[in-house]
Amino acid sequence: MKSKLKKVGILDYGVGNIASLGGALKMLGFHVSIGKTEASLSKVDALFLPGVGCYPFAMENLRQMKMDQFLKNRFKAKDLNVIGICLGMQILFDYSEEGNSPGLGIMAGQVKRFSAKECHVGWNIVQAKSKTIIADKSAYYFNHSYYIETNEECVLGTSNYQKDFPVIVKKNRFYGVQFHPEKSQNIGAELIKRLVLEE
Amino acid sequence: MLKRLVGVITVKNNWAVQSIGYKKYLPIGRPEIIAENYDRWQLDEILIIDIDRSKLNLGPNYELLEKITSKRLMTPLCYMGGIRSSHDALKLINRGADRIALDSLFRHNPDIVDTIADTIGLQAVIKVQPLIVKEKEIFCYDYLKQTPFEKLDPMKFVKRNKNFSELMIVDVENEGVLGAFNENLISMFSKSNLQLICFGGISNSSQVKRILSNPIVSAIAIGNSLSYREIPHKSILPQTEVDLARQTSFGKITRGAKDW
Repeated sequence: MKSKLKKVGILDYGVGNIASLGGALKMLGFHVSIGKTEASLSKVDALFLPGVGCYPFAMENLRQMKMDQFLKNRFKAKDLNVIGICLGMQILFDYSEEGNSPGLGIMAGQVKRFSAKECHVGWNIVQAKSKTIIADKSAYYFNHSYYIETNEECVLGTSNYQKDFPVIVKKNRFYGVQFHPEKSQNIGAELIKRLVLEE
Repeated sequence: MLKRLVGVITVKNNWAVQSIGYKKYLPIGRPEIIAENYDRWQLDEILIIDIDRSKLNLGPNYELLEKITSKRLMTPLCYMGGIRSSHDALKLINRGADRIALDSLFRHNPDIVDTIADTIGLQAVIKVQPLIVKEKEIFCYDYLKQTPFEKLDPMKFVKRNKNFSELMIVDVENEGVLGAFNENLISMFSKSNLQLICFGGISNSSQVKRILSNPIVSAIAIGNSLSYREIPHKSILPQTEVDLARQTSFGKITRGAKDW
């Protein structure tokens, strides 16, 4: 299970399961660097945006750390694979109903709440639209109460809860996954390696 | 959604224990080793319940969580015990928990539960409600005082309790008794839109199949009976959609987060 890349970064912006993600990445053979600044993450080969928490709180932290602009710059430069997980995926989009909060606007779309305030928690099947990055009809672990609405172009896979919704997206070298690959056992480990290594 | 089998580790004085009806406790090993086993066996979720933290006002057992996280598990992890504030909840998430479970805080400090849900998200909060049958009536049970405190009125219960994603009902009397879970406890919530996790005396495959077939049940939780056999869930879980879907995930070559 060792991977070729040596160094991946985790952006610590005050939300998220950093210990879980860091542990999973170390288990896969990556050298893991956890940082809050551009300087501390400048030498990584891929960067993870973890996320368990509240959208406006996450965005406010990013702005205060001045890492929102750093991420927008990386998106334009296309020089780094950036992987947003769960809330880390949602902040890549324009806007969230959670706290009526603007996001990074890197991808076009909105974050909406499931109807009846239901939560999508547990293992669910992902239908792949692109089989290059994700295996079709595999089960991953989800833990969220908001979902993405976006245009079809960036969507690589969908899942169904109340309705079909995007759960893996890509634009330039930015990826977003609504589920938690770091908690999806072997199938999640495989996907993490692919997301980091994909050119 | 696929239905889940949650492996429960009950912890007392930093040891995993077999709990019998919330009254007797027998040590069974180190929690982090049992968590590692659950991860290796590919259970769908692990729930750590540190039972003395709230009673003794010790706060969450961060050291235990760190020990478990250091095992680099890739199975979703939930923690319960001693949580007093959103600060505690956030710290637990940062240190490796994916979700937290709460019982008495819902009763005594619902405002704090609101803040916790706002901070870590509603989806990351499980409400735990121990239940007990007295003279054919079902009562909510106070674990800290070891006594029933009010008759269960499911609709009132649903209206009063928000800010959680799943309700874990615990059959207090049958906890630790093989195959004894009282399925009438589930039917009390049949008119609600709750998602239930059932815990306490679930151990055989016919019972598991029956309980999981109930549309409001999202998961079953099993404790120490998992630790008596190697890969016990393979015999507990019948060849239902759950097992087949998990096979799809892992494919034919690999069998879990770690090759074993």
